[in-house]
Amino acid sequence: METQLDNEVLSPVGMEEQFSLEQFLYNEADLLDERRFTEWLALMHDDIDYRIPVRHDRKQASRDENWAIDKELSSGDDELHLSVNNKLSLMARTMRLMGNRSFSEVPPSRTTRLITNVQAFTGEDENTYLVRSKFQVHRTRMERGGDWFSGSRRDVVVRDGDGFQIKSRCVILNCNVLESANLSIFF
Amino acid sequence: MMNRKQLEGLVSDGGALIDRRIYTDEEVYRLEQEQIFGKCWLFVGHESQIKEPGDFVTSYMGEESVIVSRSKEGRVHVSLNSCRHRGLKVCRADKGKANSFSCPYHGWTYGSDGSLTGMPQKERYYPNLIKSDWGLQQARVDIYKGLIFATFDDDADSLDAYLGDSAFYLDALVDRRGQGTEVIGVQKWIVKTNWKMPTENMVGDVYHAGVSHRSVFDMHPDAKAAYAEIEDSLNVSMTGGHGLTVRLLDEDTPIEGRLPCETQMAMMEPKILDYYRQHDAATREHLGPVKSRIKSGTSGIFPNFCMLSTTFCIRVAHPRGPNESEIWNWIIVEKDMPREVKEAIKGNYYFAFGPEGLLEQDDDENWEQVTAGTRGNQARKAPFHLGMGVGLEGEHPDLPGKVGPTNSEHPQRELYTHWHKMLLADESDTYGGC
Repeated sequence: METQLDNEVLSPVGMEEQFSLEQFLYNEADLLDERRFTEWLALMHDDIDYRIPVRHDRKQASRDENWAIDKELSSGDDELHLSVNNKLSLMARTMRLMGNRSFSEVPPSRTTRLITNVQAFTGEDENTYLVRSKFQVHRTRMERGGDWFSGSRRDVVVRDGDGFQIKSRCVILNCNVLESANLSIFF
Repeated sequence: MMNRKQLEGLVSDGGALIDRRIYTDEEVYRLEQEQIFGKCWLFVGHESQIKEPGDFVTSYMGEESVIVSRSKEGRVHVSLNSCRHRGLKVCRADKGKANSFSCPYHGWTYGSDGSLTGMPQKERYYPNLIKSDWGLQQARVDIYKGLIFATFDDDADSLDAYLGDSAFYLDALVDRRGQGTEVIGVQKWIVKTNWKMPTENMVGDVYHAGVSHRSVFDMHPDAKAAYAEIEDSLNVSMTGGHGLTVRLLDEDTPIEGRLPCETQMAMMEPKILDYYRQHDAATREHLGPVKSRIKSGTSGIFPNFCMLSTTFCIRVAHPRGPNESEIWNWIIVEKDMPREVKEAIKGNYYFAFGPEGLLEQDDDENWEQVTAGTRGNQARKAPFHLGMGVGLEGEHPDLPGKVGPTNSEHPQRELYTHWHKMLLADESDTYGGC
């Protein structure tokens, strides 16, 4: 069975791998919710590319042009994303989250990550997978109020011994203007 | 509703005492929309965003959606994005190219210069309508070295007069060699704070850095060194409510110390240093003996256009009610920078500013908590204290504006004094009939 996604023809993985990859993503999300950032960071590949593009509202260049999501995502040299990280900057961010002077996270956010609609496909070699998932992340902080973030993720996951690591993650939020004061949390 | 006398008491003691209601009161906010955002020159975009005829971006002037476009003739127009027939947005895209903007409701259509070009059934049902009377409302436009400003006030002074002394300092960011700049962006996000807080912070608040940003300065000795440098800056206040933190470098400062960005950033990416070394002579020549020794930190141009020069960030806090702002951030770079240098600048920016930036997060948190601290009926009876370093500012032999030590809040006092003057400037009966 093949699946067509954005002009890419992808082959879904078998049931066992699907199960392992789902469990990996749930565990990863749980580490973040539980604030076990050191363990979470270990699941990020040394060459991790973690990014959140800006999502634009655009104008069709012609009447028959489609509304492909990729065309809404910041990508050009003249654009900024909402978030771009490598292993070093993720290390700095998690270090800061664990400190007591990072005032945007003192007291820390309380989060629940719902990860669902996991679709796993074979990647460029037998140890690489393309994994898509949807999420809803709820965060509250201090006494009241809160943020809901919804969207999807496109991950490249690689086998790491008995487990997995995230090699790249593109987080596609549904918002145009981000309705939150910061992105101190990860998706 | 506040009467005139209460409004007059909002800022007192030369700007050193600030009534907390200026951040929360609906009436003050409503007045600001007319007296500040209806009168000031507001930053709406950069020429590099609309290079070709037909190119447009949508932006905001206060709460008003505007279309910033380049007409067929190549002129920059700033048109209110509101159909003259029933008020809908005629442009729903953030950017693009278009020869015309058509209202989705009844089809009134406007050109890239904002003029009304037609509507369905014109000949039959609007025989006497004069199209030239019904174009999109136009703001006055002027451009300073690529930066597009617009105002709704036909009687406003020229943009050059409005910018005043701030242009001198701005040049060190936007006109280093006369080669032109371009912007990269934009990030947009919501901070539950009054729009004045970001400006207040950036016209001269270095005081907060050692406390608020301690988590970043603790990360690495280089970060601590960068902080030590900014602690040793000058604060400048200017007529018109503009202000900045700046250092005037010694003439014999080596190239590593004379970069517009943090020295430490250039050390991490040798291509940045190479770029500035290569163009050093031309930059000194172009900027002249004083401007070439300026190293700006944060700065604010009244009312809501700010810069974080060491990360090449320019930004606007659009008002969204008294308790909310929509922050728009870009970075501004020299056009002829190699791609690798621009990418390195982006990387450094992401680390520090924008919604995930490690410095920005703590700033936005502070501004939200300030806003929370202005709500209580009892709390707001006590004014805010902006009296740090009163009287330490004065004339400087080389720098325009009033210059004082970093930890003097004179730019903030000047900002609020100017804000107050503008708020009260209209002697007509704008004040809710009081």
